[in-house]
Amino acid sequence: MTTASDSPDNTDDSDAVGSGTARSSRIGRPGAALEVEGVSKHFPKLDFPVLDNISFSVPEGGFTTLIGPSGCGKTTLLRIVGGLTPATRGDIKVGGAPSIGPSRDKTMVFQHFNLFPWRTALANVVYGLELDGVPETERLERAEHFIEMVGLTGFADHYPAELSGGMQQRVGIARALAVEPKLLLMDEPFGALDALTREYLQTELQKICAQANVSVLFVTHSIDEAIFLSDHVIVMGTKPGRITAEFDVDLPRPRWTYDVRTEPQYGELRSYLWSELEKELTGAGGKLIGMSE
Amino acid sequence: MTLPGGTADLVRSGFFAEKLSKPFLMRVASIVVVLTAWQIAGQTKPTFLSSPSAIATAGWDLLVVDRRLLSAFGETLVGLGVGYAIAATLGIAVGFLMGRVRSIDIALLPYVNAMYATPRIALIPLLVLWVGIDFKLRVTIVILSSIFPIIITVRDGSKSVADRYLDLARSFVATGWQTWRTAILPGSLPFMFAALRFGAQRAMIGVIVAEMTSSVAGTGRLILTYGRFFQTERLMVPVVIIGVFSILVTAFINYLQKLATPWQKQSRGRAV
Repeated sequence: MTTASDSPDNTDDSDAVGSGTARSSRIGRPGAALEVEGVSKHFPKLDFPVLDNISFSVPEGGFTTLIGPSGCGKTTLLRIVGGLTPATRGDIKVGGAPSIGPSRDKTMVFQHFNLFPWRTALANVVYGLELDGVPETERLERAEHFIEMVGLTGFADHYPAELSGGMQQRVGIARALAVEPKLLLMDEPFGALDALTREYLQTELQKICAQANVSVLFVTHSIDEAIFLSDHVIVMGTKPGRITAEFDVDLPRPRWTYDVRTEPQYGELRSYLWSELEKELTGAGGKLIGMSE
Repeated sequence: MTLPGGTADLVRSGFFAEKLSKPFLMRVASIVVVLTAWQIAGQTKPTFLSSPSAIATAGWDLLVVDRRLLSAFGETLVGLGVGYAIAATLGIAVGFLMGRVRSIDIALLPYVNAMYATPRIALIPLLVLWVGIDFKLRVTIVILSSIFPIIITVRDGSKSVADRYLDLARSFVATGWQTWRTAILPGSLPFMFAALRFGAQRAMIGVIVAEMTSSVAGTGRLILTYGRFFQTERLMVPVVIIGVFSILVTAFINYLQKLATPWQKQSRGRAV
């Protein structure tokens, strides 16, 4: 079982090392939207690390997914990248610049939407801009653009309680995009939705990402979702939380124009990913069940 | 006490059942039935029960003819209003501070809990020594009666603002003040109005108790006096007025809440 530190196949560093002329003039590896280096997380009451020396990167414009069983620390990792939880050790860089704490160049989309119930859809979308002091006319203009992008035109003045789960998450996505971040951090964003809405939003998300030109770090439980959406998939294991495998998904884009699931590569990736997850679920002496250790 | 015999049968029969199934009509019918029954029963024992017509006559007398009750109620209202305004302002501020600042919570909670649990009426003799028996006593007792439930409700409410809203504010790099304004304050509003309603009821009880136990004037004193002289129909007038006033105050706070928290109104129906 490989660990994060000796995992050889980071996708983005082959052509970018050493070049000083990056889009960002700041230090760091050009071409990477996110770099995670040696991140570990310990909780005082646990005798094993929740995250053990995690390293990976997300290339600019890339879509990377973290997948793993419950308790592998993928949500904790996402919160560390988002600056909501401090890491015990390790470095995070966004767009080449060190990233400590929350910032508006990386925004989060939450599993339970986290919309303010006292704000209309529009007022939720402008939230980040409002905190930033963007003038009202510009604020509304930008918000309208993103509301249209996520397909919520006509629902701007609805309160969250008046919207379905799927529509609430569209608001969540528009809110995250409205501050024009480099990186979108999505924590099982479709996990609370029904299966049909989920599939529909997976396609929508691909269109939105292509339009908004953001890089995405995505957390999911779903094998199909991981393969359908991602350029790169990172498989995580538990106790300690670590990277156990990672691979690229080369299925041509845009993927909503054909039936991805009938591609031979899809089936291969699916069974490979399942076998990796199965090792974690069954191979480790039932370590996911009970706290016998 | 017997209800006019056929009422129940009439309600059950088709015509009335249809008309009376509407909530408004049902309420009116209920009031008419109860008042009629009271009128009939009251005429047999006027001192014990009085009757709606006797109370109405006494009300006309006390409010319009000699106006004694009007001035007494005015005194009560001033004490109530001043005390409640102070209790609401202070109570909401202290409640928020206790809910969101841990050190303040730790320092104040024992006193707030102790005062909340102690029947405030037990303090009246001491308060009479301190502030006398008139206006100041009313205000003090109103404050002591209503401020602790307000503090505790606002404290619990602001504590219970869900972590996910705070997470959200933090992830968008809200400053401390922005977090208060955009997450904690609106998230606590429903609790704040519950606190105001609760506090208003306690304030009302407080002012009447103060006037009954020690004051030389006010509505509470009038009630006591009429009771001692067995003037039941007169006694009932201020009781009814206080009751109606309480209902109006609660309705007004509900109305303010509707204005301040429009997202809580009945859902217009979910879009799909």
